[in-house]
Amino acid sequence: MEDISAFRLWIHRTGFLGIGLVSVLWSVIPFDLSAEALPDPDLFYCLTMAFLVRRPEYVPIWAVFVVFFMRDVLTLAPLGLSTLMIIIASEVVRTNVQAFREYIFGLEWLWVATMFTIITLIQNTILTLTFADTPRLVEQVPLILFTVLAYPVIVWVITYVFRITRPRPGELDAWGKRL
Amino acid sequence: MAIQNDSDVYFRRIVRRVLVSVLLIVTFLTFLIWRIDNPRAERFRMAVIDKVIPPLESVLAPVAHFSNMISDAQSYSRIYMQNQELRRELQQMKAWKEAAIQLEQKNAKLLDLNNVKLNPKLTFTTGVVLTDSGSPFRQSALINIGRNDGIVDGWAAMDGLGLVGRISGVGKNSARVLFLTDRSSRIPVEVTPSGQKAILTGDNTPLPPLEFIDSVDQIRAGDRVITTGDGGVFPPGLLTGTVFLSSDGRLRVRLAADYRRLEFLRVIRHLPASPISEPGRLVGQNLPDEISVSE
Repeated sequence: MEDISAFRLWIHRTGFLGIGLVSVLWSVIPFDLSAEALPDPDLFYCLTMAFLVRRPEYVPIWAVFVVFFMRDVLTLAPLGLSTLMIIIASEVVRTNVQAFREYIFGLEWLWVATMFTIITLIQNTILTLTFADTPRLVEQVPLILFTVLAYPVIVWVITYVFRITRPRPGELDAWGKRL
Repeated sequence: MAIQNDSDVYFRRIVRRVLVSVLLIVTFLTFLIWRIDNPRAERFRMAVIDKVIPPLESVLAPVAHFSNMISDAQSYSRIYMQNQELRRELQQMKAWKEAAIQLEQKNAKLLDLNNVKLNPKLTFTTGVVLTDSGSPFRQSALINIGRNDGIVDGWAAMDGLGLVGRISGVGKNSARVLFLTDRSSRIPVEVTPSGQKAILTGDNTPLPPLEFIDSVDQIRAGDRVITTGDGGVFPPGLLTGTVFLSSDGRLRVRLAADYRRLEFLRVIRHLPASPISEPGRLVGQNLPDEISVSE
């Protein structure tokens, strides 16, 4: 019983890490090199948050670190900055996960959207304060918009395709603890 | 059934808390190091990319190729319209071809008069585009040639026709090409008929503006823009694009390179001539003893 649950847990963790690394590589495939291409939504942020609200134990913090740091390295972003921001955001969700679970979906969506906007603004502020090359806010508005719009889609996919839902009342984890 | 006792839970909580703080500190320090010692951090980044991306080439290339095939297939649906359009363009091209032939003959005569030799130093190495920057705020690409192929930072990269960007970051088997459209790209250029010097300034749009122009009055829309050899970075005379006046009243450049279909890039080997620092060096060879005296 315990072995099966632990096995499932590790399958899900590996799956999360795998999807993350694939999505990072996907973002660097040269589909369109012209500058007018619209930014893609930050799908992996949506995925991380959707997983965290539903099953935080599938999203270990080291996996978040590995994936987002790889993304920083590969996409020429400031090294470590977005990783730092995402880790903070993920810990905010993780510590308040009970509250998040009781929200209706609209409220959860609003929270995730607000956090992404705040993260982006803080990153911009830090980059400006350190005199680094900062992307203009005008350029980041479509990124925020697309990411916010992508969140319900991601939630739909992980709920109905991967069958990962919020734990039912009284469901136990691998160690027999209440979730 | 395993039942967790309190000390176990407590221990796990402590370990977690330590892990979170360590990761936060590590990422923050990485950011600080990136900001303080940027060249070293970028070298680290290039080394990681150099390890990760070239082995994945066989995976990444088919995906990109497949998506291009799909977009090509979509274009077949508009084939009749394109055919009409091409016929019209062909008509115009015939006129241009005539003009070009006349110019070529004229040019050949002039070259003959002048006995000019084209610069044999400008050879090139061709690389395949592996990845793009992955971020909407950076315009660059990774190509599959690097230090092993003799690529040096700062060399110019072109597609078949026009300048694309310059090498910025070289790994063992890969190099990054910073596009002219990137926000940090600054290239000294010359607007040809009038000979006005300007700086082509990338601003993350497909049509980068010209800045620091001597006299704007002498520039017309449609003028050709080529690189200058100023600063010794680029070989002079590489075609960059044509000037046009954008709706916001700035002079911008429509780039000659086709960024939508970049697959191969030519990296121009360029060894700038050594600068003339003293008047005496202008004529004749360096005297060996003079060097030893000056050092």
